Amino acid sequence: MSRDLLFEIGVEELPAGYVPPALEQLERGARAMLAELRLESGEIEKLATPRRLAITARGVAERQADASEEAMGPASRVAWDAEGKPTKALLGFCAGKGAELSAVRRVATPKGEYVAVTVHHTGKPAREVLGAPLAALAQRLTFPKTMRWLDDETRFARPVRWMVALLGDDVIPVSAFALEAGRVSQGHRFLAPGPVEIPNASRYAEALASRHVIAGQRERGARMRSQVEALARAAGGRVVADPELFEINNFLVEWPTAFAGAFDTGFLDLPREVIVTALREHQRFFAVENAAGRLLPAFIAVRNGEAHGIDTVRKGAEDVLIARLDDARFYWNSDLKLPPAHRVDALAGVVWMEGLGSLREKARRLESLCDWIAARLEPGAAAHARRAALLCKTDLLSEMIGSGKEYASLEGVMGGHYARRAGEPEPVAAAISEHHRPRGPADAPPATAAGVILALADKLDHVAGAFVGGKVPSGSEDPYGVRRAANGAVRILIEQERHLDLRDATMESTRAFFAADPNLSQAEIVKKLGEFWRGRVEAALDERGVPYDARDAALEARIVTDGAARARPGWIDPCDCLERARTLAGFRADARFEPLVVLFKRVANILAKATESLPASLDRARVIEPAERMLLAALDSARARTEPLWERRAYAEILPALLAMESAIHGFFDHVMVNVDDLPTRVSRLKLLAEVRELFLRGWDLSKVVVEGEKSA
Amino acid sequence: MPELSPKRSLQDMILALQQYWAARGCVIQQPYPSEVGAGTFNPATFLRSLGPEPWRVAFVEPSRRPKDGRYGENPHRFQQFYQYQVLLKPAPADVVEQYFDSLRAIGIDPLEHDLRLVEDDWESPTLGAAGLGWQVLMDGTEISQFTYFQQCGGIEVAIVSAELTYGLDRIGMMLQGKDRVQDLAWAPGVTWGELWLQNEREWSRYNFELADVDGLFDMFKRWEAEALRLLELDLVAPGYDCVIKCSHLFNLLDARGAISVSERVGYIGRVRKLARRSATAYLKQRAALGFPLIKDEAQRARWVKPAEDNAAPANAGASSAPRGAKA
Repeated sequence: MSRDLLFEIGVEELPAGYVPPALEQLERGARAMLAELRLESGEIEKLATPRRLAITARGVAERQADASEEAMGPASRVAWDAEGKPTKALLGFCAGKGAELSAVRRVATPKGEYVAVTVHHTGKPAREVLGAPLAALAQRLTFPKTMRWLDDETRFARPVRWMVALLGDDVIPVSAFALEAGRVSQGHRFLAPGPVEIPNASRYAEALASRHVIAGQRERGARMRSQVEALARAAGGRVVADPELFEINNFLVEWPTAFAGAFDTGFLDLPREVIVTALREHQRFFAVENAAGRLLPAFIAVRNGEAHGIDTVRKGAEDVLIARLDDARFYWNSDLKLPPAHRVDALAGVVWMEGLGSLREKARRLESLCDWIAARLEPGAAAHARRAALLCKTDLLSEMIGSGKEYASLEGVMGGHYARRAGEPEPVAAAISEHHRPRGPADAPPATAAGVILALADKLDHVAGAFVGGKVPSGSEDPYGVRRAANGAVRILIEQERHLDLRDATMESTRAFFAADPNLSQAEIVKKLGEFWRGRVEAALDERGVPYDARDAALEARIVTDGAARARPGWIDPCDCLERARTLAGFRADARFEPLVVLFKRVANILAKATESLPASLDRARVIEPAERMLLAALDSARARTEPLWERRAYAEILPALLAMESAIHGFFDHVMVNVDDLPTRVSRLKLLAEVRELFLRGWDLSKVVVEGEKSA
Repeated sequence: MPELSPKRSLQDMILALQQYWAARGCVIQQPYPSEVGAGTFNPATFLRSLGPEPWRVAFVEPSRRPKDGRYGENPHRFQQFYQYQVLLKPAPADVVEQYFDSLRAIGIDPLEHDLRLVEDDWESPTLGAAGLGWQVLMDGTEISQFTYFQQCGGIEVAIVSAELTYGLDRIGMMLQGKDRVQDLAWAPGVTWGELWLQNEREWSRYNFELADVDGLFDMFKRWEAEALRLLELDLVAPGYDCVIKCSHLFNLLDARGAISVSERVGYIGRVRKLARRSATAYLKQRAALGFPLIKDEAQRARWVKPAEDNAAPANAGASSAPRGAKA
């Protein structure tokens, strides 16, 4: 026997952005709860509107599954006394587990002999056991900001006003938020205000639909989307793609009715981004464009209600929008009066980050950093990047960005427009426009060379400045957006396939700060920065689905190249690191993978135990034994074969080439004793192995890789 | 008494709101006789939202924002506007419904409009006050601010109040279908423009051009010193009045362009410090009086210490107060 489960948390209007993450938590939590309770169930569905977060589970078992559990008790030596009588420890254990003394068994463990009993749990009716876990599920939801509304410590994103908890047609006793769950939900705030009885968990959506609430976001979203798209077609175009705006609107309404509005064609002289932002930011309206991608003087909005009175609603929407566009036009026209180059001096009056100087100083640092990056990535773009660096922060002084707070998201983009209008070369304008990209996971990195250089410089400077100024992110706290900036830089390098040494870049980006303040603890700041960037590269590999052991193997590589004084850690070139990690992960299915790893570990293990200090180079004259000479020959040949491959980053070919040393390495271990008494011989042999390891380490630290045979160990 | 017609004049609309909230147990207070930037500054909100005493109040608050003046020429912006302020403490469970019913009471049919609650984290840095709630939008225009107070004077509130603030001028314009505030009918046959236009022109000149900057800075310092002196003597009402004056002086100086960006934070911090002192002094005083507005016996038992124990609960308003223990 099984029945459907429904749990609805009724709440006052939630911020739209809070809903999707809360639903994820609710679904995950419900799944874990049912597993924990040993309640079998079918499909779990999450549903939400601005006023409710709900979860349904199909076919939840009427009773918990029976279960047996092995419970370990005290050690045998303390379970019975000298006379063989059970001690208090044993009796207490039995009482705690509800087991008879006769049921006690002795079990041998690596730590000695212990007593154990098998405890049988008889499943209880689902309705009796669900109450407290459902309450806990609701109370444990987390939100970016929470509030109190009762005179105790209860918190939630907005006040909770009702709860529905049903198993089939029975109410599950849930008490939380000073409320008892029942079967009474609420209809649409205006179209069908008041209580709605939910007869059965399986009829939740149906009962609400009769009261003008579409509970499921998918169904509601589909209805909204088809209305919006039809209206856009009727207006002669299509909706400007914006999935996030669809989601926001979806969680602002319980019963969507879309309507179209218009504005004066004259506003179309404004930059497209300004119009789209004016529509989107406060009003949540969709912009409409024609087949050629040009904006039309129209918008689509979504109302939480029916078509009744829609003309009044439309008139209000148009009036508010026109007032906003009027403001935007005022800002735009006054901003065009002063070209960006004329605002550079005024940057001196704007503080960038507390204690870290003005934007004028930042512009100067960016210029020099652009030169440095351009020299490494694309020398031809240096002049444009440098010019863009000088001008890129001037839009912060414009009316549009400075006064019209709603246009703050157009920082950079507006700068690009102003530069273009002032006659700056197109690559300069484009670089300014792109320098904040990527703004988030959904935004693309810059497309132009100068844009890439400036965006990297801006982010490197931001991160370096934050660490210098002690504004380091910790835990989930990152008020200065330092992590976002670093993630953006790593993404640019990876997606644009640019190879930049982040360690050198860190040194370069801190140089000006250190020069300005000689009292800074430079070594500590650089060390922290290194750890931070490594963490960002690690996160980038995780995001791209690289298995953790391949990730660590690539991150922990130690790249020694001729002439370099010290090894370069594997993470400092994110793009290269990702490629090495992916190649290694891809090689895993190959039959040669495991022998390769085993081989490396065998070498690494011996070296790990060695305490001898090894010379800078191998004394070839000391390599005498045939098996030693074989290994040296194999190493020389592997080096020769892989050298051009490393240059070309042909990692997939390198792995088999390393494996060519296999028989020589095994032969070495079979016939040569490493730990001999004679120190010079011992050191020479260790050094030979160290050079073998070094060749592997140039790409991967294979000791991080977990192979089949080890997993269970 | 003649039937009220909120769509005909602003004063009818105000009277309808007064009737509506009076019927729901609110004390109908009157505007505070000192310049405030919003109804929240009125002690009937700022001070009374502190501590465990229940309180329901409604009043019109003429609010001054010197910076928003436009010499009477802008149809939507003016330096003196009218708020209708409601404070419900504790916030009733159906407070959102009560709010929307109040809109019905002034002739707004939710089915004829798009009414929505848009998230808003409200904060008043000068009062050290913060809360969560919404802006209420009607057909895209903000008509109200709806806030559950969480903090006041830097103190976590003992009982959460709901503060409902109506932008009377705006709502009136929408109800009367007027595009310019100047044309808004205040009373039948008398417009806003006839009452206030000259006022706006003069105040805008004063606020932006003529206010005596040195004198205002001097007054700020004097009222600040006076506030500290009076609050030290536990004179809450006169002390808090000085705080209100400081806040308004700051707004005037700001409008006059006399306060630089870097100085701003400092001045706001000084006013906040005074507001905090007032809040602490008020709580201490109410506790000493035995929280006289608590009429319910169970609540009295919870919040008021027995008379023989002379000391009042030290932190009845603070977060460590016994609000964790449910009555």
